[in-house]
This record gives sequence, C-alpha cells and structure tokens, in this order.
Amino acid sequence: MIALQLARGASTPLQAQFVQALWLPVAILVAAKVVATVLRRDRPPPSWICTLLVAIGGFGAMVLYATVQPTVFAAEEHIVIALLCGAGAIFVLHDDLAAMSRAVCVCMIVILLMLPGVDEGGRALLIVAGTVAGSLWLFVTQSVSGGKWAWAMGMGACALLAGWVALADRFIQPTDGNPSYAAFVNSSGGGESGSEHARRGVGDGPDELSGNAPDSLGFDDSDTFSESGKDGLYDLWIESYGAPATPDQSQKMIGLKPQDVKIAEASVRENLKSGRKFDLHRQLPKRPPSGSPDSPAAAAVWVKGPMPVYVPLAVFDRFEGASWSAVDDGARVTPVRQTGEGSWMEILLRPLSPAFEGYAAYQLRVGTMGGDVLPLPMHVDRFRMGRVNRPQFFDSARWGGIRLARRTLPPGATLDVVCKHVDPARLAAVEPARVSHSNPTLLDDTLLPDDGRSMARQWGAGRERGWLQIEQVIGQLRSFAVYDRAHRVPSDADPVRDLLDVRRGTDYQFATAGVLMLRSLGYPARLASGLFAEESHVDERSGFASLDASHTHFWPEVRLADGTWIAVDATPGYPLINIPTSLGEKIAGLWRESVSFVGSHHLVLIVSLVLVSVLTVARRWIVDRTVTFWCLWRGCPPLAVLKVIETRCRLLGQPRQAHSPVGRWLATLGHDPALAAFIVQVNTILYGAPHPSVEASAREVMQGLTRDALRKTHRGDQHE
Amino acid sequence: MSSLSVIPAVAGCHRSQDHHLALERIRRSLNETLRGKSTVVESVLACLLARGHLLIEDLPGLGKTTLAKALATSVGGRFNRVQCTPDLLPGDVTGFGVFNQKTREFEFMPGPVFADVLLVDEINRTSPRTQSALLEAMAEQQVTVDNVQHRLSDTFFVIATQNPADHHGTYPLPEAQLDRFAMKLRIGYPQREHEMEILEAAIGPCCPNDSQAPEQVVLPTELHHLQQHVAGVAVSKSVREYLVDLARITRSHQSVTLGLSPRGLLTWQRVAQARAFLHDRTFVIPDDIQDVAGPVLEVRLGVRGESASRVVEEVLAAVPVPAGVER
Repeated sequence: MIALQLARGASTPLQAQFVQALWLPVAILVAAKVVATVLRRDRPPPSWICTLLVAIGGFGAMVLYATVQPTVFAAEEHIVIALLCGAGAIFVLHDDLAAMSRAVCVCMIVILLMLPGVDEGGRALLIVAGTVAGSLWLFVTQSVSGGKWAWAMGMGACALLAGWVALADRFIQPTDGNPSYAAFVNSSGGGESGSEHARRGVGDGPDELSGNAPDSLGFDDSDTFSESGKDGLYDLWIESYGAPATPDQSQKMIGLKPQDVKIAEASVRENLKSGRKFDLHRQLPKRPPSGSPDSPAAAAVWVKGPMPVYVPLAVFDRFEGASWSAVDDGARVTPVRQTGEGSWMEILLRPLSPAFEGYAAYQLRVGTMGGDVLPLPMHVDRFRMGRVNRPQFFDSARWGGIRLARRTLPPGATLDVVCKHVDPARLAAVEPARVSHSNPTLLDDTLLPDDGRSMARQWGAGRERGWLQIEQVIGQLRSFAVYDRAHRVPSDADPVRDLLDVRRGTDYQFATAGVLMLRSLGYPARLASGLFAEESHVDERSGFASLDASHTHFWPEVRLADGTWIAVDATPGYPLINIPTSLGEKIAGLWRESVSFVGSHHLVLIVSLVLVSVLTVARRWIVDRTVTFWCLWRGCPPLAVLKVIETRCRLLGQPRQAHSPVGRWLATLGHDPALAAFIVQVNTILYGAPHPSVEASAREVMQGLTRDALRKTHRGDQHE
Repeated sequence: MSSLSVIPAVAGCHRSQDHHLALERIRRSLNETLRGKSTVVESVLACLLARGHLLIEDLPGLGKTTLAKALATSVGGRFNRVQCTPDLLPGDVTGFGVFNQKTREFEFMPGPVFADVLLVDEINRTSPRTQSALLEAMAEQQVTVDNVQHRLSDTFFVIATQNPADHHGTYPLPEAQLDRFAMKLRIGYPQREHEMEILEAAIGPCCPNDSQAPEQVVLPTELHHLQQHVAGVAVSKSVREYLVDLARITRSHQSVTLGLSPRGLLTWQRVAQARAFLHDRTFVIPDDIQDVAGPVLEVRLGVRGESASRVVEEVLAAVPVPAGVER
C-alpha cells in the first residue's frame, strides 16, 4: 500500500505527493502501535484470529489492488512492481522460517504471474522471470545458510529485482495490445504477437515477428501450405520418430517357459526407435544392493507429529571441565497412572505452567534404539505404549524422564504421546526460577572462563531478568561462533574455552557454553542430550521422521519457577526455542515479533519511512537540482547546458526529435531573451565561430529551464 | 516549410551596415509590391543573393509578373521579358545574326536574354527547343550564336513562370531545365486584409504604371557585392555532412524518380548561405538547410503537388540534425 501511494503520488503536485505518500505509512505505524498497546505483547491474539486476519487481509489487498490498479498503473508501474517485490522479499527474509519462506515465495510468484494480465508488453515477462529467479534464489539461500548471510543475499536479491525491473522498463517500452502470454505462442506477421496481422504460422524462418520472410506461411493459408511441398508438423514427427506402429496380425501373445525367459540386453532407449520389435521376455525384479537409498533404514526411532521436536534421552547438570555428569538424587517413584481410557498413562506431578498453550500429538516407533528410556518429546501430558496398561511397567529416570522398569525397550514398540506446547510469547510472562535449593549444581558456573562470564553479562545488559534476556544471551551466542559438526576439541581442552577462542564448535560446545553463561546470570540451567527432528527429516510418504545416531543433539534447558524445563537451543541453525509449527502459530509468532520490533524501533522506522518517502517522491527534483548545481559549478558550458535540457525533456517524455534543429527546438521551450541569446550561442558553437559576448546566457537558461519549468511548458502545450 | 523563428541579431556577426540597409530597401520594396507575402519575398531574395534562378508556378493573376518586374526595378538592372508561345524560336530569346548590307558582314542582334533580370513568362508554353536555348544562359551566363560566345550580365537572373492549371498545349520542362533553377515557389492567394489593401491602393491611378511603381534601391554593383558576401558565408563540416546525407536520402527515396544532383546540392548550400546571410549570420545552421529545402527540392526531385511537400518532410525526418561539437 505504501508503494501504491508512492507511485500514485508521483503524478500529482508536490504537496499532494507528500500527503498521499505519508498518510498511509504513518497510519499503519500508529495503528500497529495502538494494537500493540491494547493487546500487550504478553497476550497476543490467538493463532486462528491471526490466520483469519491474514486471509481477509490478503484477499482484501488483492481486491484493493485490482481496484486501484488502473489509476496506479497509469502512473509509474515499475515503481509499484519494484516495491512490491522488495516488500515480498523482506517477508521472505524472515529468519529461521524456511517453510514460511517457501509459502511466501509461492505467493509472490503467483501474484506476479497475475501481473501480465494487467500489464502489457514483454516487460511483464521479464518481471515475472526475474521475480521467479529471485524468489528461487532467496529460497535456496534461506534453505542453505540462514542467519545474517541470508539477509545480505536477500537484500542483494531485492536490488537485483529492482534493477531487473528498471532495465526492463528502460529497454523494453510498453506496447499497445500486446498480451504478454502471446509472446510464448509462435506467430508470424505483424509487429507484435497480438497484432491482427500475426498469422501464427510455421516455416516463418528467422524473421518470424516481422513477417517479412517471403516463405512465411500461416495456418490461415493452409491451402497454400499444403501445395508448397514443405514439411509439416506431421512430416517432422515421422522423420524424427518414425511412422506410427500398425498392428501386425501375425503377432500373438504366447506364454513362455521360465527357462525361455532371458534378461533384455538392449537399453530402454532402444524401445523408442521406430519399427522396434519388442521381444517377449520379462525382467526379473532386482533387489536393491545393501547400502543404497532404497535399503531399509536402521533408524533408532521414528517420529511423526509437529516439527521440530526435541526428544531428550539424558540430562546432565554437573560440568566437570570436559564432560558432563548427572547428580543422582535417588528418587524412584512410579511416575504415571492410568487414565482409564485404555492404556493411556498420564504423568504425575506434571507442572501446570502458564507457558503452555495447546497440545501436540506425536507417534513414535522404536527402532534400534535399545536401552530403557522412553523416547518421549518434552512436556509429556499422557502417553500410550502399545497395550501396556499397568503403571508398574514404568519407572522414572532421575532427571524426570520415564523408562521401562526392569526391561529394555523392545524394537517395534509404538508410543502415542500427547505433549503440551510451550508458547514462546507466554514465556515472557513467566518468571524463571531464581535459586534451586534442591540442586545447587544447577547454578554452578565455576568452570566458565572469565571472559565468557563477562560476555554473558554484556550480552544480557539492557534487558530485565526474564525470558527476553535469556533469548538475547543465547541469540548472541548463536551469532558469536560458527556451528561446525565436524569440529574436534583437543582431548585436554575445555570445550567452552575452545569455543570462545576458535569461535567454531559443535552443538555440545554451544550447549555447554549456553548452560554456563545462563548459570552465570543466575538462571538454573542444565544440559540435555537426545534426538532432534525437523521437517526436512520427515519422509513425505510415511510422514515419519527417521532418527538415528546422526540426529543426536545437545541443548540447554532452563528451569522456570514452576519447575518446568524449557529447551533453549544455543546451536546456530537450530530453532532458538521449540517453535510451534502450525501456520496459525507461525503467523501469531510473526505478529508478535513484528509488534515487538515496531515497538522497540518505532522512532527509527518512522524516520526511515519519512526519509524513504521524501526521497522517493522528490528524487527527480533532487537529481535535477544536483545536476543544475553541478553544471553551474562547472561554469555552465553551453553544450553541457544543452545536454541537460535535452535530458530533462527526454525524461519528461518530450524529447527533441533527431531531425529537429537545436535552435528551433529550443525556441519552443520559451520566449525568454536569455533563451534567444542562448540559441544564438549554441548555434555559434555548433556551426560557427564561438563568440565571447554571448556566454553569459547559459547560466540563466540553466537556472530557468528546470525540470519543473519544462514540465509546465509541456503541460501547457498539451492543454493547448 | 514554415517560416523561420526570428533570432535576434548579436554583435559581432559580420554584415556591414551598408549591406543591411541595401537588403532592407530591397525587402521593403518587394513587400510593398507583393503585399502579405513576406515569406515569398525572403525566398526570392535568397534566390537572388545565391545567384540562382527562380521558377514561380502558380495561377494567373497572383503577381508573378509584378514580382519579377519589381525585383528587376529594385536591383536597378536591365529588365527584359519573354512571353513564351509555341512559335517562339531560340533566336528570339538569345539573339541572332543579321547581315549588314553596308559592312557586308553579319552583326549580332542580342536577344532579351541580355538583361539583368529576365522574366520568362509561361515558360512551359514554348517548345522544348526554345526552352533548351535558355540552358546555357542559365548555367554558364553566356550564349553561343554562330559559334560566337556572348557573355551575359554578372547579375543575370531568370524568373520563369508557369501555370499549373492549364496543361493544354504546354511542354513540361525537362529535368535538365528544371535543374538549372535554384528553387520553385508558389505565391498563393493573399489574405483578406492584404486584398483590402491592394484594392485601396488601386483607387486613384488610372493605370498600373501610374501607381507607386518601385524604384531602383540598389546598384548592380551593390548586388554583386552582396552576392560575393553570400558566397563567403561559412558552412561547417557537420552541416556539410548533413547536406550530403540529405542528398543521399533523396536518391534512395521510393517516391523520388530523380535524386538530388551534385549541382542541386551546390545550389542548396548556396541558397542556405543566402538565407543565413539574410538572417544576419556568418555561418549556416541546420535551420537554414531545412527552411530552404522545400523550394530547392521540389523543383528538381520530379515529385509534384501535395506529395512533394510530404517527400521533403520525409527526407528531412530521415536524417538527424548534427548537434555534436565535432566540426
């Protein structure tokens, strides 16, 4: 909408341009601020409301676009398109949301493919092609890298799109009555594809569009074509692929004995040749060799459900310099009870944290994992393991997990789990635990290097104690170093020290550093180890994510005041917290982040918008004044002044015709005596001997024939 | 072509005050004779200063003869008139030898061609033989009779007229003849207010000769001097290239049967020089070339009527005007 207003304002007087270009951005900012104030950041609207609002807004925007399109596109449509592309690309740039990026890319492509219907000329094709290429590139960068590089490359893509549009507008002028899609259709005759003279024939040779080829024949001239003896499409097909097969009455289907069956030696490509006689034999099915992608997976566990998901298998709370260990508190109680609905078990003593919102259902299938710990996602509310309906079969691990009592996990066992979802926005309202009296090691940060401690304090400065501070510290840690899965820490080295020195490390190092840094700020934290799955791991057909040893992951967990442990992933490339994955929840998250960003940067945004609006509206005025100043500074060489005036008129759509004499053309621009003297001066320089007595007029002409003055002159001519 | 935009004179353009006054006198004299036709008068003056010959093609009674006589009187030379008829012989124009009984020798009796201004009225009514008798006179300012060459006046100027309406019994001028003319003009009907002035001026005198007949305003030597100055007007290289490009375009134009000859190109340049001189300039600009293009080209491109002006416009539109600094 900002772009529409800017473009619309470009064809109106200056004052109206400012008003039209500024009122809507300012209104949007004010509305966003009001909505953010009313709703408060800790109580965002439910996700389904966000989905509904976006859907309504999307349709409304398209309707509005179709309504104002004739007015806007009568002005300068390339600005609109460029800004729309830029705005869409900014959405695509949203970090860590590859799925959202893909969706927005698809939307952009669809919308821009609709543009040829409202635009005309081959320019729209270039716009579409450029946008598709840019979107695909953005998608690739989003998928591959992420982080700040995605921003840089995304901005480059925006510039590429804008440049592409500008080039298309510069070199391909719009033409009348040329449906863009018709350019895909073979045609002949007429100056354009949509011309009535285009006959859409064949055999037009290289001069297809102009139709000047003497051999050009169209479908309308089919009689002439038939008599011409030229190869038609049918002939070309026969030449390439042979005549169509005719049924051979002598061929019959017969049965073969197994010993008569032989493997085909010829390649499949041979079957496409004309006149091919097919042997009546069969190929025996082949078993895929072991190790191929088709071989059965040896997964530890399969997971099906909303992604990403963390499956903790072990938790450690004591850091010993090079490794972690767990403190055994000796608690062994039956952690579950039967709910009365079949074999469903619900967790006892499960915290009722206000950070929870909604549930997520998972299905897990045990593979080669072994052990006795149940591979359950975090924050389990209830679960069911096959038909096991006795709570005594389950025991609690010392860290709060659930394991099988006196049994190992049988391969093939199926687990149905219902988990509570953590709402990241609600975390802001939940107080993290301050002191852990039961386990003081949760605050032990003695092995954290001093510079790491100071960095944690520095990264957490400016934020009050709470989740925002935790996210800020972990976020800074993620951008501090590079994740390298193959990084090796020397055997006698401290993993945190190594990470701070080399700025490169594994997820274990990131998680260890994150835990210790959070502890140094007074947050009870521990290290969790387990499996991590995201959407890219999911098999499209089965819907299961196959997890094996390569999906082992480490992450920090922070304890809330109510006893809930929340995963805060410190490894770059992984989600910062366990982000929900439904579309509505994503939109709600985007909403919250946008409101938060606008709230914290509203002054900068307003100033930037005003600046961009002013620059956009007054860009030509600024360039014109700059050129005038430059020319005056150079002493106003008459030919340079002439060139400037010619450029101004060309940009105003009233260029000097090539066959029009300079003096006569200048005389049409005004009746100023200075201009008349300037004409004599220019003529003298161009065609005669320069004369010193007439050099003063160029300066007056330069200052008099500004863009605005020429614009008024041309408008006056048009009215007349 | 449209008339020129008025460009003010600037100091330093080298046209002396005497020249300026002489031109103004001729211009005023002709304008008083042919009212409301300043554009035609300017073209006639340009043709006179370029030492070209003028073909006026228009309907009867529009002032062709009046203009020719006024011009001849103004420049102060000898004025002769030839009324062309089908039985007019070449000797009637160039002169012929007469046997003198006393000296027993042939003596040359100069014809009307021996004048400063020669009006050839209705030139297309005489035979091609007689028309061709003017070729040598117009091109080389001499006539050859009985193998004896006779020089004509230095300011020899031919004004020929022809009537485009009545083609019965006429002999259209051959291309070679047309190429000798510098330009072809049409006078056209005067506007209403000018016709009122013409009527008012005719009240009183009983015959045309009694009215305000033009007087001689310049001497032939002054005219010759002016013509020498015109020949010295500068033509830059870019303008010359522009002229050549235009000429080459005429030779490849689909509607033109006879492209511009080098002699026509020279004439075009000279007339453009004259126009620049008339506008108080010492150099030719593309405006001069374009303004005289119509009269100069129409007489020699073999295109008639409305299509002539269209062809000229197409030719001018096909060549970009030099606007760079290279010269």
